[in-house]
Amino acid sequence: MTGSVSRRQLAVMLGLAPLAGALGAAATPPRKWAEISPRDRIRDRHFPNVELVTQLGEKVRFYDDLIKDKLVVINFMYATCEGVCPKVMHNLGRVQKLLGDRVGRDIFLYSITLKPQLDTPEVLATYAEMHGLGPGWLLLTGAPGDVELLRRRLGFVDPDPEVDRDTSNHIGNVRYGNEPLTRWGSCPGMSDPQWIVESILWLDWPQQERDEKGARS
Amino acid sequence: MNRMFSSLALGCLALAAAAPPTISRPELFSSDGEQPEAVAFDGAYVWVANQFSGNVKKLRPTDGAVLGTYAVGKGPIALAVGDGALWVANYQGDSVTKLALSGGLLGTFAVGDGPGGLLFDGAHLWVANRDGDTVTKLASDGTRLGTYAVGERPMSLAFDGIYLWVANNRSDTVSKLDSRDGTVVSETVVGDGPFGLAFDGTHVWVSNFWSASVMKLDRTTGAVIGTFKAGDGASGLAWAASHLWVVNTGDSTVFKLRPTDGAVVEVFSVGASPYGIAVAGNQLWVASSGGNALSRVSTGTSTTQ
Repeated sequence: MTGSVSRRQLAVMLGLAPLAGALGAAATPPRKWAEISPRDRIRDRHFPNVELVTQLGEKVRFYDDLIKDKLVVINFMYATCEGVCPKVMHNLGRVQKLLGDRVGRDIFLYSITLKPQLDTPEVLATYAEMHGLGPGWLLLTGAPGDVELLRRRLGFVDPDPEVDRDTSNHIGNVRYGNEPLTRWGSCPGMSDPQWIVESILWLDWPQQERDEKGARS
Repeated sequence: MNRMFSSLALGCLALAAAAPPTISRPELFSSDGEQPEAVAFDGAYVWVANQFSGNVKKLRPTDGAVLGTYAVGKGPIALAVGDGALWVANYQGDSVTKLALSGGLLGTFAVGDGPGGLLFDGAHLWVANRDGDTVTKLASDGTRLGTYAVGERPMSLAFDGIYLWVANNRSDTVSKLDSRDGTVVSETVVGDGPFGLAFDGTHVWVSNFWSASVMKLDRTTGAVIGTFKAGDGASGLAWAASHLWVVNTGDSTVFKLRPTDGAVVEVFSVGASPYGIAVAGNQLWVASSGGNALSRVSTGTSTTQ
């Protein structure tokens, strides 16, 4: 054999080719995920649409009401924290000042309690007043299981399970993202507030582009 | 002329570049409560408001021992002493509680939306309603005598013997009201986020939270006659031992400021996220919400407790 193929052998090979293809297709599961948009994949994986309650006592759905179509900033905290929370909240207060009236208009800040059993809407309202939260910055509580699900899905988790079990331990990170553009990032909550603002605005999109995209969809 | 005026005004911004101030660490006491934002002294005892517990605690100033815990309204965040009683602003309850200094309840009185600043002027209680953008004047028996519009988010109050001064945190202004009828006499634009007020007997002082500064105001005209550097999140103010004492929430410090040139002569490192400050003889008590603690600072010398 010198590598040449007889006419008969070629016919057999060509005849079997469709079958081989069919067998191959049967062995590989259909790649359905490829048919799901990145936006939907991120939503399904990271944004459970759980019910939360704001410091004003209003019930909201995490994805539908807080995340969808918005540019958002998210952190976790709890009212009686003696560690990093008050410092991060003070720093985010500076971020709020720098963002000005865009907070509540097209940029939203969400601080989710790690201790929903203790942090009732009333406690959170008093905490909000102490930190001078303006419109567009919500403090959120909810059913403990839902809050824990959110914490995990949003990635506010310590790799050491022992450390992670105690919700008093937390790193004070801040997530920010533009949901419709599927752009997400994070930074330490104690970063220079100007840098945090620049990072948030890097995910921004001009109003005109937003209107055009809205008109197309 | 305008340029010369501007130069003079800028010249008032004192950046005390002399020797760095001493840094002291005063004694810390547990507040035995939750996130205290306000502290007061009744002449014998220290009182602290625990905003998440809905109570106030009475402490012995010599050792910080808690002598009693008394339930008040929801979200107590401001205290004042007057008419032989302790007055408590219940932010969530839109009310003011009057307690006997023995702790007994003397009355609870409805005020405006979100009370968060109190001052007793010798005869009346004044209440800054943070969410209502008003101040309310109460008689000592709790009768409401008037409610007056001021700027946005009135935080704190000062009294110079005739006029009431109000720090409007979101308007970046200080209002001067005639205490007899609530008429606004003047409104002064100050720094970013005015928070605390103090009267030194001659001038009114205001802290600017986001500007990290304090300003000295002319009592007659309300004009800003000096701007001095403070720490991050300048909030509570007190006048004691011929100095201005500035609580810096972001830095978790208290500055002792020389009023003549604004020089910071001493820095006290206190519990995390302090807001409230009260003068108790030759001591200052500082309430640190983030640290769940009280710090005791000596006003007389640079030695710490």
